[in-house]
Amino acid sequence: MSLEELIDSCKQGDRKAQEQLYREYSPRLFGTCLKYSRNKTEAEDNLHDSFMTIFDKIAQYTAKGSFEGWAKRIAVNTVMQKYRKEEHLKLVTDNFEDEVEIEVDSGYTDIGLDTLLGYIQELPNKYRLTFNLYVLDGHSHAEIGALLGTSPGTSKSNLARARLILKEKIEAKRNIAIIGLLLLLLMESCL
Amino acid sequence: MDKKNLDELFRAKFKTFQEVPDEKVWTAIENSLDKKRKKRIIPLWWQLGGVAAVLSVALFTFYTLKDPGDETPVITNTEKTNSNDTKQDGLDADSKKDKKNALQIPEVTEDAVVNRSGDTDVKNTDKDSDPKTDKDSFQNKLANTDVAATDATSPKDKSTKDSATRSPEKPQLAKNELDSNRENADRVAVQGNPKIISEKSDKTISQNDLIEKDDTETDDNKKSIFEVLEAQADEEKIAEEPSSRWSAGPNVAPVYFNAMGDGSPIDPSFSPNAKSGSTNLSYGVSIAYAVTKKLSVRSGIHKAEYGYNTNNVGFSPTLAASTSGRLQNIDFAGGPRNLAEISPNLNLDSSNDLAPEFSSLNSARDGTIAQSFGYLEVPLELDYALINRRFGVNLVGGISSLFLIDNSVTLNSGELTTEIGEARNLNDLNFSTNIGFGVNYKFTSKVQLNIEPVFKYQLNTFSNVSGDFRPFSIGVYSGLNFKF
Repeated sequence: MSLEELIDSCKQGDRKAQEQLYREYSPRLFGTCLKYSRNKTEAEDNLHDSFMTIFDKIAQYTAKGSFEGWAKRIAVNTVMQKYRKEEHLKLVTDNFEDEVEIEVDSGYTDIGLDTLLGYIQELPNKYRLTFNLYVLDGHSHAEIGALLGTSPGTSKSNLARARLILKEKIEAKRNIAIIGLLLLLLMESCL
Repeated sequence: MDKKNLDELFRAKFKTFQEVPDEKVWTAIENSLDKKRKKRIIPLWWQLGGVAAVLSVALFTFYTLKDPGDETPVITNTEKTNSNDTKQDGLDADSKKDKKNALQIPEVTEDAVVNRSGDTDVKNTDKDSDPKTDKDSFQNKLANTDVAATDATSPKDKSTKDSATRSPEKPQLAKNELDSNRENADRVAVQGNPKIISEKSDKTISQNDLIEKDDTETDDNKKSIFEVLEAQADEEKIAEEPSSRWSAGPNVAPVYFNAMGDGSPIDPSFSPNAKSGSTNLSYGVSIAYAVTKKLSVRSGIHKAEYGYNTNNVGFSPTLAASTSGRLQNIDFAGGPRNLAEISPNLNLDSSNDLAPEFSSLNSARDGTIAQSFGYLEVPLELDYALINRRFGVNLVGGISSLFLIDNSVTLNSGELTTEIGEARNLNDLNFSTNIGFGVNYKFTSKVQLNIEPVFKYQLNTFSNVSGDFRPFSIGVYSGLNFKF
């Protein structure tokens, strides 16, 4: 069954087609949800909600853009709607120098994907959303501002903070690694 | 290049990031889709049920009110509204109770967070330690001890702030209350509560800038809201949740009354005359009960004035009218019968520049018979929301019972107005079928502005009409609506 046929069947509410569509796209969308959510449970919830919206609105999908892009937008919107309400209460007023190039040693590229995902998920809502939208999904600050209902300036400062936190976490991990290594050496030398 | 940009690191890692979700997610989606399918059927039944209810109430009122005199209908109406009021009170009390419960919840969650933070931390480390290296878990433990430390300090702060001593059982009790509240919410399908809970609890959390605490807190919430959310996954998220089911408010409308067909309600001889409708004011209060999120039943009481003119009427002063009761449907109230002879004057050419009084034959003067009738209108309407957001669109359909309270016929000529009497053929009680659509704007979740153009087709305004005469009215009802 081609994608068009699959989408057509989904428009009719065909359960088999819906399941096939889910099997096809859920891993990619779950990836998106994991990045944008705070933890796995919330990511699963958001994936559920995203697919409910997708099946609900699939009649509105016109074959103009890619289906994956459309579905991903729905997923991102679903997550954002969820966290946006919380963010109204925490406004960032102070600005941060934004264009600080944050660099880490190449030695850290061996950090596991799960660890990095954990670091992203641990970020506060607005930092996490901004970091995802800007760095991983290539949106501009103006777009992010519009999406999150903030100014581009706020988006920039949020991004800078997100980077800083991530950098600290990665460096903390390195320090622990060094301490561990030293301890190991110490133990070996004692023996 | 031995240094790498942070962004690049993440970008490279997450470029093709995907993960197969747990099978339970699809099971949940399937369940939600099933529920939704069932849900779609329900509104139809509600609609049919609503129509049946409207018809039965209408028939009941019609037959019970047909025999007694004029006054009865009005009395029954006030009773009706009274009973509505009492219902409101009951519901009001319920909603108050709900609110009370909801208000207690932030306390609960706070407590829960404080009390359970140790547990969740342990859980976190367990979970995390699997996929990660030992170093990771060490790191996590460090982070968690931080959390634990800050958490440990927070209850102290709280206890010093709150002079009222809080027994350790209290959270437990409150939690039970929360559970029962949740059950209620499920049963009644009031969707406002869980949202309120989450908002409130988030607010309390935001006061503390503890991210980790935030996490554990929402985890707790998650479990509690999950089922409810699942059931409502298809609902519009932006839509204002109906915090209460009852709403009421005043409204006012310019109403244009006219008729289809060219008969005359006054006399067969006036059938060919030009006629025109007139615009009057209708005002009143309406009350609505939301059966579901989209469908509500509403009623109320309105004062409605209708006017209808028969133009180009010739009349001439006379000492004794040749035929008494010349106009078959008018009950003459004394004088004018003896003073004026009224007849359809078709010879008048309205385009004539000369004053028609002088140019016409028989010294008949040109006038207009203006009929006005006032009603107390009690509508029973179904309101179905097509769009239910801040800006909403809805369809309105139903019937109105109209109780005649005002009835007069006047003869107007230039600036002269003479009361002739009243129409004999107006029914004391008549019905209209109403159809319209409305747009509304919600200022807050409690207050909204409505504008509704409604077409009302009168079913039995006149008991004895000459020729084809089907009256209708069009009104643009605007008003405020308050939820309570």
